Amino acid sequence: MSTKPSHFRLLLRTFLLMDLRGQHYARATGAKPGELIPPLYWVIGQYLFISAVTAIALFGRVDVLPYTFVMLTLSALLSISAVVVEFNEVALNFTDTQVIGHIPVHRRAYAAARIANLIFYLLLFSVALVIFPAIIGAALRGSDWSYTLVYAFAACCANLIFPLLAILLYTLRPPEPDKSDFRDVMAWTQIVLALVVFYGAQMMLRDGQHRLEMFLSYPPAWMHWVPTWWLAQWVTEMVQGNAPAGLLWGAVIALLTVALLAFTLYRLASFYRAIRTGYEHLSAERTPAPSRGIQLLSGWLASGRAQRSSVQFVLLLLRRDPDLRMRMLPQVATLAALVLLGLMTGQMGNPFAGGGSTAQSPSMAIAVVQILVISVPMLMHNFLYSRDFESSWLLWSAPAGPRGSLHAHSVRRVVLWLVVLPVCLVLGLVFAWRWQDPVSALLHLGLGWLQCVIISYVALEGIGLKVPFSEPLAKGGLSGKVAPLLAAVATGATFLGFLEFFAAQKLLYTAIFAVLLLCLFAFAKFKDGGSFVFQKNNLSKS
Amino acid sequence: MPAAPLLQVSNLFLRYGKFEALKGIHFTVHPGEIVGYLGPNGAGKSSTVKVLTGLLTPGGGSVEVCGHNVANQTLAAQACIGYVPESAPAYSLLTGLEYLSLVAGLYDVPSDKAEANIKMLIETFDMQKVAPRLIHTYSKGQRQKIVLCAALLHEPQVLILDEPLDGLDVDSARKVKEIVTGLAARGRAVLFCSHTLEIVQKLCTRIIILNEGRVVADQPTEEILNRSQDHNLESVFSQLTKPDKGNTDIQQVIAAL
Repeated sequence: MSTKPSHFRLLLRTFLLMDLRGQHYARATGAKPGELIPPLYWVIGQYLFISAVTAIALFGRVDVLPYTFVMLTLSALLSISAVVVEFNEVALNFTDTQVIGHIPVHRRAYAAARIANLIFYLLLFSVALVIFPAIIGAALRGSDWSYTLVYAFAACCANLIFPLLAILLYTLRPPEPDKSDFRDVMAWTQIVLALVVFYGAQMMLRDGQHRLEMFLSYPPAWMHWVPTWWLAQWVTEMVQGNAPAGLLWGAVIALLTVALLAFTLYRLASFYRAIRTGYEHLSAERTPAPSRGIQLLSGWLASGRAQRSSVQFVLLLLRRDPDLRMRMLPQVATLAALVLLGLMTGQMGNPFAGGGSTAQSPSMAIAVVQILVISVPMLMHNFLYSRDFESSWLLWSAPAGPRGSLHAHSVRRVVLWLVVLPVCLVLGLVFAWRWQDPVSALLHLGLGWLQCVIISYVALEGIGLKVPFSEPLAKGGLSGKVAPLLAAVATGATFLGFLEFFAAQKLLYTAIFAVLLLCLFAFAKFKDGGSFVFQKNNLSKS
Repeated sequence: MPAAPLLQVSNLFLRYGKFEALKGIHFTVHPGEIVGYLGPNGAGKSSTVKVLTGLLTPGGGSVEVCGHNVANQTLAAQACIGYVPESAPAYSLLTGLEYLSLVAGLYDVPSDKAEANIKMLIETFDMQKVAPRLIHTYSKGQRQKIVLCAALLHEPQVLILDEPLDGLDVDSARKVKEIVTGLAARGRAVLFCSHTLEIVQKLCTRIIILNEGRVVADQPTEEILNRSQDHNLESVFSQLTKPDKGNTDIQQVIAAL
């Protein structure tokens, strides 16, 4: 039997249908109207916003070449990021083995359908990422209407080439569903990418002395080796009148993209075949029992037998679920990027030290803590998803109080004490070392910690976290659904950041700020406490 | 001269890391036979089924389905098989009808034939109202029925059914048993994996019992039953698989609970 086009068409149609339905459509009966928008659309909205804002920020400040370079780089990085973070939904789906693994479909037809599905996914994002930069770029000095077409072509190629390279990198290893080492490497790669994006974006916004323009107009030698720079040069040459030679290069770029697609198709076909029979690689080694450390931690974080079990379960999955770890790392990446940025640009000053003409700006020191505050809902939101979401019946049916709040609080505690607190401690050490003032570092992080606790209560309601690990991941689900809450929290955290900036000028103001936070904390705890106390009482009675 | 077997398993070995799941299994299933495939948990039943359907590559031995070697002619062998997997996996974001259309298309069933078969099977299992809904909203039994329909609609020569009655109501279970018996009477081969010994005893013409990756019995049902004085499959099964190794006193457990 050979590869059949009809199989390819059927599978592709099915995959696209499932993508566009998204996870919330599946729960349409009884779901709130607001949940009927598939998460994929939220991500498209975010990408439209990010690309539009960046394009507007660059407009009028730089010429065609640097503008194109920055926009192409941003576009490619966001595409890679989408593929890497949601790899299991985008390029590889172990469910397929169970559902259609026994059906006589040639692996090339399956791989072609999956890769066509991936191209659809990437092109959908490309449209969102390309549309505003392409239009705004046409109005740049030295540009014309042709820019829109040429840029769109280059950006679509870049948005395909770089994610495909990431997939090729992934498929270099033998598929072992229970091994996560390589995915961790990919996650850390993404951390480095996040650092580059954040550093670049911050540089752009803070560039008061036109250093960005100077930097991009006279780029260092290494930048000529960045692939998006080559593409940007090609776009510029095409627009500024070197079309005949440019067309030839355009054909080369298109050919390269097609060749890479064909090679990825070949690699994926082999990879899927290996997955099909890959269970032989699974070893029958015993999984180690929960360590004494986890038992001690869960005992420390929980107030009763039921909650201890719940916390222990959340801790175990945080340790063993590679997808969850993968989802947590980008948030840490953002903080690492900001700390480095602050240290490199001299904006990590002590907000409590008082301003002098030679003193460093404290803006980044405050921003780092506020970003940590903003990341709390996202960190908690990550716990909502799991490949084993169907097993959540246990958590729904166990007597864990109204709406499963026991488990939601377990997630809140684990995130606060085992993710946020260690980050706070590391930040505290960095600040104490930088400022040579441990007391100020302690005060700064103490106020930040209090805000994280307040936001964690808000997030419980805001993201609708009732039972962890209870929803399947759909494309875009990770960042899409939580976007409105993140926007609200970001606004609130920015406001609090400004308050702290001004409150740090005098001890009295700082004390007032701390009291304000304590009041907010008490209010959040009081609002949350009713149902939780009721549920704990019920449990203790039973 | 007896007809050639539709399913032939020879000296099958399978390993998961250091663990040997199948240790040289032999059996055949001829046209018209309904073969019960039994064994305690972890005996290797599901592993065998995965090898037969091409989902796993064996460490040694061979499997032929309708004369096609599963290792070399995987797609041709798979085309002959109707498979109901354990736990009835299906794409939950498709409707039942969409899922069946997909399966019919992938098995290259001509569209008019597919349409007729889908309609007939949907009606047989009383799924007319449910079929246009997303599979995500199905009950366990409804999901099982859709997977059963998917296994039957391309009119396979060999049926491999892993716990096919799991979650089905009485009427649907009766229909499945009738269909299986009827198809066997028309020359199809059926491998029926189940833990429900009463059903296997009534339905199957031959029974294979597997224990710790080895076939410990492979005889016609009547001969297997004759192994015990009370003519009961449960007694034979217990005798061959020795489940009382743990020495757990059930009365003690009941008292403790």
